[in-house]
Amino acid sequence: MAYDKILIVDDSVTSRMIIKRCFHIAGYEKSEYSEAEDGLAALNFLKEHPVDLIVSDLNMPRMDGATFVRRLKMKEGTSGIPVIIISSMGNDALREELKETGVFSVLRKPLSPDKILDALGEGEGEGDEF
Amino acid sequence: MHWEKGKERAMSFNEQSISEAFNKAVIKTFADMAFIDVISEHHHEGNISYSGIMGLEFSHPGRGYILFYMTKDCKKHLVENIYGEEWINLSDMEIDDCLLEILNVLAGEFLKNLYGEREKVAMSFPRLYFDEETVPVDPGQLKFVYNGEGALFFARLSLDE
Repeated sequence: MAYDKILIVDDSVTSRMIIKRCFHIAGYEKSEYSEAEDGLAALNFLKEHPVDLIVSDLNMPRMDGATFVRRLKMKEGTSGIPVIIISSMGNDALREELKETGVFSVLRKPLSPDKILDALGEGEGEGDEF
Repeated sequence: MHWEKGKERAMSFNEQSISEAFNKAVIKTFADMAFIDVISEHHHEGNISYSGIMGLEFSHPGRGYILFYMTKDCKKHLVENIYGEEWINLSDMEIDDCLLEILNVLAGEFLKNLYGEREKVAMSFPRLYFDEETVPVDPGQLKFVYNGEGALFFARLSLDE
């Protein structure tokens, strides 16, 4: 599947840079990337800008990743966008909880290109890596 | 690793299992994020001239904090490797953010190593300490010294179950 427009949501500018770099290495160097520093900024961005994939951190100020996904899935225009959650606080319970809200995949930081490919079903591993 | 033994605690984890989980987290995080090989060092932290303290508190499954004390050489090595840019070309905001993100990932890795992958984790946002008087001090904290490819740094860990 083509992910031409990817929105990266993370309060860390370093983490956003690493995520983008990993996507480039994974073969998504031609995609168009946008960035938001938390869930609230991402929701505002999405009002005007459609995207094909969202990659979001979990622990963010103002609006965390879980709240962001719940809000996203409640809106008709954004409910179908696949979401990958990336977090340093991953665990099995959280992964199941997020999956129930419609999250596509949950990955543990630090991110790697292989983890992205696995999450998108293009790698050799399983979709989730915790 | 240099380890100044702290007060005895009534914990189900012993100091060895805690330090193993912490060492593993430090080594993996530095290798995965910055491609830096880290080894434990038999060195006293008092001989290391650090140029900044960063810390993070966690409240679940255990309660405690992690503090990192780094020399400028160590910070420079880390940040340049992660960004692929020379230190001089990076803003203070990028440098601080980079160091805090390392701590964030490292803390998650440590708690996973210690408590396993089934436990929910609650952590604060990582922060820089500009005033040493505000740095938490637990007399029973564990102390670790590391060598990251020639750059020394040390860490302190407090954990109450």
